[in-house]
Amino acid sequence: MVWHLSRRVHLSEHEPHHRSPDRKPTPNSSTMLADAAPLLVEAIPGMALILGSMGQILACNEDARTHYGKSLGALLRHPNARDTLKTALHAPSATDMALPAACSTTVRLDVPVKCSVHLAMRRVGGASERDSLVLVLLHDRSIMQAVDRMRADFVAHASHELRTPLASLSGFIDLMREEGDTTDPSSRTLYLDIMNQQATRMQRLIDRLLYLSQLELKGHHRPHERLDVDDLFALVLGEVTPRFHDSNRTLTVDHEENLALLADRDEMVQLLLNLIENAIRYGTKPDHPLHVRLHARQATPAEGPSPATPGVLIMVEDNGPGIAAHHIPRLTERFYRITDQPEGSTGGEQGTGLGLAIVRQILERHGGQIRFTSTPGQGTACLVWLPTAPAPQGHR
Amino acid sequence: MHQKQHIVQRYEDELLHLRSLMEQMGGLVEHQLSLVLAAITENDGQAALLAAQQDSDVDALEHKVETLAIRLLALRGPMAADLREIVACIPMAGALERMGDYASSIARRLSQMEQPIPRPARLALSEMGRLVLEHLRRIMDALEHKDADAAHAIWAADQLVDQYCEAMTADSLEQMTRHPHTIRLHIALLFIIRNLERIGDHTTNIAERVVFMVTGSMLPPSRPHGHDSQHSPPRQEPPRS
Repeated sequence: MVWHLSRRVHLSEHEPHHRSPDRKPTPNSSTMLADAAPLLVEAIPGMALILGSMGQILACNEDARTHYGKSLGALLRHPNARDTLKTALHAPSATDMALPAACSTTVRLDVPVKCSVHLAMRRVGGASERDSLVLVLLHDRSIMQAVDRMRADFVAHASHELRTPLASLSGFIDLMREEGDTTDPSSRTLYLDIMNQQATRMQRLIDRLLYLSQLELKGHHRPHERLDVDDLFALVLGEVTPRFHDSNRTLTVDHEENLALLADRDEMVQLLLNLIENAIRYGTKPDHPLHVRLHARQATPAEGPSPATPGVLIMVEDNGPGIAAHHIPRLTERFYRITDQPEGSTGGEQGTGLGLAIVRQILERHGGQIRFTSTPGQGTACLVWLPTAPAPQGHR
Repeated sequence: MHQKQHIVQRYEDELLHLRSLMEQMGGLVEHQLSLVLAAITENDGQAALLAAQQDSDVDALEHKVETLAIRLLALRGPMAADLREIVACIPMAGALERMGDYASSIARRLSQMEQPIPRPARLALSEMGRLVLEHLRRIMDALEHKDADAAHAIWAADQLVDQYCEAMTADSLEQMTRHPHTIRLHIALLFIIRNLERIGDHTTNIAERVVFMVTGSMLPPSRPHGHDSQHSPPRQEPPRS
């Protein structure tokens, strides 16, 4: 590395310098720095980059690129980052030997995944402000922030959502206490059934809230595992087959050959289970056989988020009552429940309102997308787009 | 020789400065919208106040962008891609300024609310706001990377915002009919929904300019809108020059 650096500096002494032609040809510290910057930044262990005086990125090391990639622009144009850059550029150094003061700030981004980054900046070299470079070190604080928020969110949602089932539960407890031994056995069984149902609901709600929080914590890391659709569907089938023992429900599964996703296996299973669960829950009509179809194929370029990325389209279709158009945009919203469902269609069991929020959270982490199409009276289709795994070397 | 390079250097510096101002403006409006979202989701009055205060900074930046762009046009005689970029910056800065206005108008409305927004509406609003903010962020990234494909995708994706707006408007109207005592609240909500939708519209304006800037051709004047193409958004291939 030392050799590289010295060679680089050496070169700049001889070549006419394109950056600042109006300056004396003898190299000064700042031109040497500008040339050596990419190598120096690459050598820094941790996430680092070098900015020009206008905030443009002059050099960025591999760590920062892989960790933040597309978010770098958004981080650096944030007002906090801009203000700190300005302060860093103006920070005086007392003597030639002393370094200018370091400045730091924290930037929070809300979309697409919430993240929080600590930026530390210091001016390096540069005779005038225009020639100055600013070295930036980045530290990810997302996990800390996410844990805090997770706690707050959990408390807010849980305290609200658990209120109804809890009220129902304590209502029945009071009722049974008052009636004492006078309750006849059939009512008693009924009460206990309802109480059991409410307790199960609370349990499921807590499970799902926790699962959602865990997904949020992992949200920053895109999965890199290769997952064959074949294997995925086999796993899902193993899980859902018991739900289709009823003669009124059928499940068909088909997919094109050799499809592979860049995805986390457990999360994909969860995602498809949630979609199939919804098809059963909201697709069942009395006296009407329910068909659910799980299907996967290569996506056309127009179906993905950008035409350049190849993807796989997984569909879960049912022939249930369908969903009214005005609900469709809001389906993946947390706790959004369709309130005008025909009575009895859900088997008297209310959903947690989190199933599709979980689906969306999983897809966000995978860089995927979901879309719904529905014709009332004929059925609903959930179309999930996921990026294709690159072909493994020396295989297939 | 030196003189000529000197002029080139100055020109490039000014172009860099223009880009830097656009990014700064984008960052500021993103931050403003983030604050508005925090004000909605967490009932954070301080955030609402802060968001409203940033309006003047955004206005000042728009003025700077315009002045610098005109200066570049008048003094440097830019050509081709540079010319398109500089020309496009003026309406893009205008769009960002409008977005800033809408964001601070939401912020002001939030701080004037007599009662807190009920939870379901709060969740829905923050969801819609997140969508709008995400589009804004993606378009600022597309501008920075001069990515016409990404800009085109955002242009087409705004219909999701429109659909969300329609769904929430329908919901508010229904609530008003059912519970007339909530009319005041829901009228305020309708304004907020509408403002978010307008911010989304301006995102598509910027997207159009980015496509023009990169490819030199304009997008069709009409955009897929709301429920027209609910089932499968038609996606034209981005025009290329």
